[in-house]
Amino acid sequence: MRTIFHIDANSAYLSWTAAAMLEKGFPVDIREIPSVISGDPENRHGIILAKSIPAKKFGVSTGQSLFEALQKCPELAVYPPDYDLYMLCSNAMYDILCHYSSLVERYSIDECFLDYSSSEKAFGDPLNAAHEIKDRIREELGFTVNIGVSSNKLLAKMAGELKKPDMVHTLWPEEMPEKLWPLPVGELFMVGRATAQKLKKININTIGDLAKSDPLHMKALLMSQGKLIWDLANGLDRSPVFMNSEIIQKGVGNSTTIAFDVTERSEAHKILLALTERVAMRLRKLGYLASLVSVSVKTNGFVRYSHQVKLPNSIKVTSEIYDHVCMLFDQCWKGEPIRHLGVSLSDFSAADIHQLSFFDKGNIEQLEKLDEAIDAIRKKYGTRSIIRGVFTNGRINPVQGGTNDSDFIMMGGYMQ
Amino acid sequence: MKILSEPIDAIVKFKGREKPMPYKFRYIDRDRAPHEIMIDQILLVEETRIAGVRAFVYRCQSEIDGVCRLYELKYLISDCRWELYKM
Repeated sequence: MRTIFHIDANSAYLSWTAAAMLEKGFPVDIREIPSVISGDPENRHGIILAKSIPAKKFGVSTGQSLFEALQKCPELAVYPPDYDLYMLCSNAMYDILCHYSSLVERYSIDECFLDYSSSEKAFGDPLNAAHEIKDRIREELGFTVNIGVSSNKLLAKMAGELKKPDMVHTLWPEEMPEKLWPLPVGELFMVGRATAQKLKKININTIGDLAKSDPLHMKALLMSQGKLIWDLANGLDRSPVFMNSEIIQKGVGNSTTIAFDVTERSEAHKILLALTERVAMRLRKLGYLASLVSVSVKTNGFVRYSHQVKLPNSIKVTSEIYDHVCMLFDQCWKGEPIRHLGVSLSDFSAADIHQLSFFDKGNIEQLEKLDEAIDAIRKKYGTRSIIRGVFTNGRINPVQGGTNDSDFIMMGGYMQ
Repeated sequence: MKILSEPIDAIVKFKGREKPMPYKFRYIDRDRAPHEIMIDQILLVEETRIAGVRAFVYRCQSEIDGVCRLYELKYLISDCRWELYKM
């Protein structure tokens, strides 16, 4: 049987900010007062990114708008995010974990899976080792984590969620009826609000109800997700702990919420160009070509729509991608004021072999060389060291999308 | 000791592979009064990584205004910067 740990930083952004503030002599531990980390409402990024446990008691939740949170708790202390600090904290946590196993998967900025199966000889009993890791992180890095211990990734993740903060929990398969099954079905990994409502309609209220239901019935109701969540409710998960280098990326995309409503086509094109710059750079860094280009739009009325094109050939040149992006945007935009724009690329193929087309505009090889040179300059001197003339003296940031020049790993994780 | 975390000017001895050793430092306190302090003794050096920030913390002792006082200096490795950490 495998032994898997799931390590999750408690209120990650907030406790990392708190640890750094205490270290600089701030008199209050913001984890102990109603406080939140939130984007700047001036730029329309006023969303709660993390909350303290006292803030949670006022009904403040992650993803809520800052305005709503302040109505629930007027004395709420608000701090801005510091993504450089978060990368430092996440890297420091990952370094400590790598001491205990050679197989550590960085699931998101604040979560890791660790395969402890072959570490028992060196570090002893898994539960003692989990306590040692938890205490080391608290003592050395100044923030707390929850560690879930079990025989697979899913149960380890569910164990880590049981009671917070600064705890180690086990959830072995034999403990499921007692610890996992009485929980509401919405607490199960991969069961969102919509799925939980569908399940409630057929009287499945707890994870236990789901586990005891008929898997064929679940599959009929929710298709492949039905089978997946039935497996998860029964603790069935065979997915290995991946080294992050083994994870295959299937798409790249960036989007931005704009500080003002965009009403001019030319301005929207500039923002799309700034996003394309980022997305194309990321594509080339991965060593891929893309043949599916997609544009997404969110209007000031929060209506979302997107438009995509499957290309006959694969591309990686910024200006070529931008031509398709503009064409897609022009086809789908109905003239409403725009709040949010996004560009994404997928259907990858390796960049080393690629079919030239009779219909390529201009000299693609020359443009590829130009992009290579720009990428190298930006890598050495910073993303904004070389920008397109169209952005000079304008209010639009010349490269947009992503956090910390796109090196940041977001919250939430991903499924293989 | 209270955390101050004030930036300081420092004269430091770098010797081969050893950790940098502070020799004397100057800082301006919150009342804008300048102080120049010779480090009489370094009692302990610790490497810390609170909130992921790598630093060396030096527990030092000096005679300040005729009184023997304990304090801590901090060298922030990635910033190459010195702070009067606690006093």
